[in-house]
Amino acid sequence: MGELVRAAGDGDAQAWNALVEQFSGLVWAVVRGHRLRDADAADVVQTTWLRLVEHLGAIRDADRVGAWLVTTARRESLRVLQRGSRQLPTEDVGLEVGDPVPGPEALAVAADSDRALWRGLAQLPQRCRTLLRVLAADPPPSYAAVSAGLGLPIGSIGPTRARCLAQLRAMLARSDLTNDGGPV
Amino acid sequence: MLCSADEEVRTLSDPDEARDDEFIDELRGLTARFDPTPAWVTQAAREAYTWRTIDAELAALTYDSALEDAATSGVRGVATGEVLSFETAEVTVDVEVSPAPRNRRRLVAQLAPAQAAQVEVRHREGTTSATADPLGRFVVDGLPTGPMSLRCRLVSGGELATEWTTL
Repeated sequence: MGELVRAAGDGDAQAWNALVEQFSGLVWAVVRGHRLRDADAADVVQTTWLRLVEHLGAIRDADRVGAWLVTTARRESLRVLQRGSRQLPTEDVGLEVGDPVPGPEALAVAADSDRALWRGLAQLPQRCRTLLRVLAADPPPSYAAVSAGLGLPIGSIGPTRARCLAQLRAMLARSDLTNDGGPV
Repeated sequence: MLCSADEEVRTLSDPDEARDDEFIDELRGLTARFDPTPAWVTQAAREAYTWRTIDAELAALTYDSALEDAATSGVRGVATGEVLSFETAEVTVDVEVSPAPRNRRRLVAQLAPAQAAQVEVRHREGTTSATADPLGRFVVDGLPTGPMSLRCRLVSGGELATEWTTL
């Protein structure tokens, strides 16, 4: 991976494409973890990659590039969220900046349990939602990248993940109780 | 459940962690179905490489009024423009961003120390040219939202590019 970063810095477009292949899902996970709506999410992703283009000469290591992308996408997401909240009337903030409605077609035909899990994920507090989205990126990121990118000590990723997943399980258990009107 | 010796050891030592690993894998599967990275977003990331420049000095974003307001007051500002500052070791570019009709943006910018410059605004639709007057001021109107970078060719010689920033 360090080789790819170096090669891309030296003008090798194929190396650049390989970097995009590797980290595209991770960057998307970060902005969606911040619940940016589609247009803002796409803008932040694009800004993040453009910044990497101009910083290629300064990054020389594989894990560093993953962490760098997560950090940059996270900061830019927060910038855009903050600015958006300044421009929208208070009563619309939750609606406009809130849940993107991802893949409505896929959601419509999904099993109830999958749908409940996905909705539960969207309702977690931002820190948990971002951590879980990032950990569930495809391909899976290194713990080093998650740690440096989200500002969590490596040793606390496992325990934090456990707490967030426990919260998600509890949420699902509650919705099961609510929905359980008899045999399905 | 069948597992290799290695997995078995880990499973025995920390069944909760193994269960969490499986849960994350399940979330990975859901993400692939419900919110995959859109193909055009990945394509745009590939194309970002065509903006590569190696001759301009990078001016880093050092101040953003949106973040500053949030940090200091917690109060939502009025709809005045957002102010951004970019800096190299020698030059500062202050940019005020304000809304323009049809969801476009207007930039009012100032180079310090004051000096004339040829400016190229790079954005999603291409580039827009402007000229900074001898006092270092320039205005660019009607820019699209999204990523933006200013490339300034200074009369004093030298060239800088501001860090890409989302308008």
